[in-house]
Amino acid sequence: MSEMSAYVIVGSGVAAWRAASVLADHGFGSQTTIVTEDSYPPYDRPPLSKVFLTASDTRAPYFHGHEDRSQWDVTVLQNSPVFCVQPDAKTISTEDGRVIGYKKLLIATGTTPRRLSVPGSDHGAVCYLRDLEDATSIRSRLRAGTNLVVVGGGFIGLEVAAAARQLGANVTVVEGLTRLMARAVPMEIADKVAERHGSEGVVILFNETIARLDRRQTGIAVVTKSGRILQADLVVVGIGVDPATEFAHSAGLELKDGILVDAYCRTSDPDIFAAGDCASFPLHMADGIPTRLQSWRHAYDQGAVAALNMIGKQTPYRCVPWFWSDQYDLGLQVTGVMPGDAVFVRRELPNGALVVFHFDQSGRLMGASGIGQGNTIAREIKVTEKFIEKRISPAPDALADPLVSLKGLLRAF
Amino acid sequence: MAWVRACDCDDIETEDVIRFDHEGRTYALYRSPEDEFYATDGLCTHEQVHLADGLVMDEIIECPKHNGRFDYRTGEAKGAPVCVDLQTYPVKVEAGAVWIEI
Repeated sequence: MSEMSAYVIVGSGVAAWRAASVLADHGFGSQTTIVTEDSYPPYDRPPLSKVFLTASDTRAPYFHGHEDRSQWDVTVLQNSPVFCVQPDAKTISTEDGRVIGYKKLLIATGTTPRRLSVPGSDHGAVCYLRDLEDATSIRSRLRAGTNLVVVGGGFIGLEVAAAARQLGANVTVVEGLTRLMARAVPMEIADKVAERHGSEGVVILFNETIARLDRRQTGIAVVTKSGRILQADLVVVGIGVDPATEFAHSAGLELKDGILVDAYCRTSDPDIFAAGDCASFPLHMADGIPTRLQSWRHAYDQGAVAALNMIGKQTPYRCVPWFWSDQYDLGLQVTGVMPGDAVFVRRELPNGALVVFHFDQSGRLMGASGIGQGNTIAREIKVTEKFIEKRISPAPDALADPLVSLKGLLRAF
Repeated sequence: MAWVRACDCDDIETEDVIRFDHEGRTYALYRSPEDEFYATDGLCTHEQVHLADGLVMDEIIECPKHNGRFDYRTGEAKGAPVCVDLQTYPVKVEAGAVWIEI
């Protein structure tokens, strides 16, 4: 079956949805088609590792203001995985036999979870968390008293651990390094998070990896490298993700840890764009270094910029990274980047809240991480985002002093 | 509808926002850079996050999550992800205190 849509978007996460929304806002909704392998229209992912696991509402977390999609004139083709793009013919082909012609194509396919590959990994009790179906499955198996083993101490694993604890499950987190969230936050912030999980009854095993999984009469025995045996009813694996680039690769698009795009979200093919978790783009705040970000706001903003460029409104994508994680009543937020050899400056706030600034070796402010109850560190992080955007690097002493107003520093420059 | 004494003027710094709760509802009280006072519902219309944790810059309050932005003087939502305006409430200043009509 052959059809044509001026604007075709592959994927149905926030980047895809935002791009489609921007196209619709500009009057191109009826000429836009979303093609997704998912069985649902576009929905929001962050709730899947948080409130979706603990609340009784089983409905998909559709985007706010978008629960009623009857007025939307964008076409959504569900259950249609794309297996091939033909850039010369400007068509995409789906596994269910559709061939769709496009004028402009946006690839917003996100990422796929890395799989555990040790013996026994194919046991039915081993789950991953990426989409609504995954979240629904995990939720149905989490009860008070469920023995849960979480593999991986990153954001997905920790958010699931927190949700599971709130449901009364027994939780053990198995982390391969000496600390949590090593990619993303300074050690002191990671330690505060670990401490909180500990006080909530979560057992965290550091420097541990999984050797194998053994079937038991009920459940599964998770055997670690050091020989510990963890009895589990459910295993949730969060060991990282890889950009979903399979058909982009076979289409000959340039890849570099993701689909490589320029500042205008354009791939190596002038009519094909990419945005969100799957795209590698020049990070403006870091002198254009090719970067891939896995965060809601990046996907949301880049999806919008990609759409503008698809309709010919040349718009460069300039972002200062920002993301959040909610675990228990703690709000963690990070802005900017964290260089591997960063110099850290800490700012203590009331009630145990903490913000840590990331400076590079040349003294330039590159980012900040904050943790506190609720959104107590949101303002400091927001002002820091503005510092970075304006290329302001305040003196470390000033940043460290909680009596010095960050907004005052911003105004002073 | 009645006038309720919410706080002292000095409780809110210039170009800042605080939370005010009354009879089971939550509000946000603002002091503009020009030292004028305003009041809105306290929760972002997007995902019900407390706006009082957000940053005030000029006439804009930015939600601490998802960066939804509103003009706190009028409640106007300034663009995605927020599309529903904030409810605003009349405010008056009397004898160094901020009153809200709710």
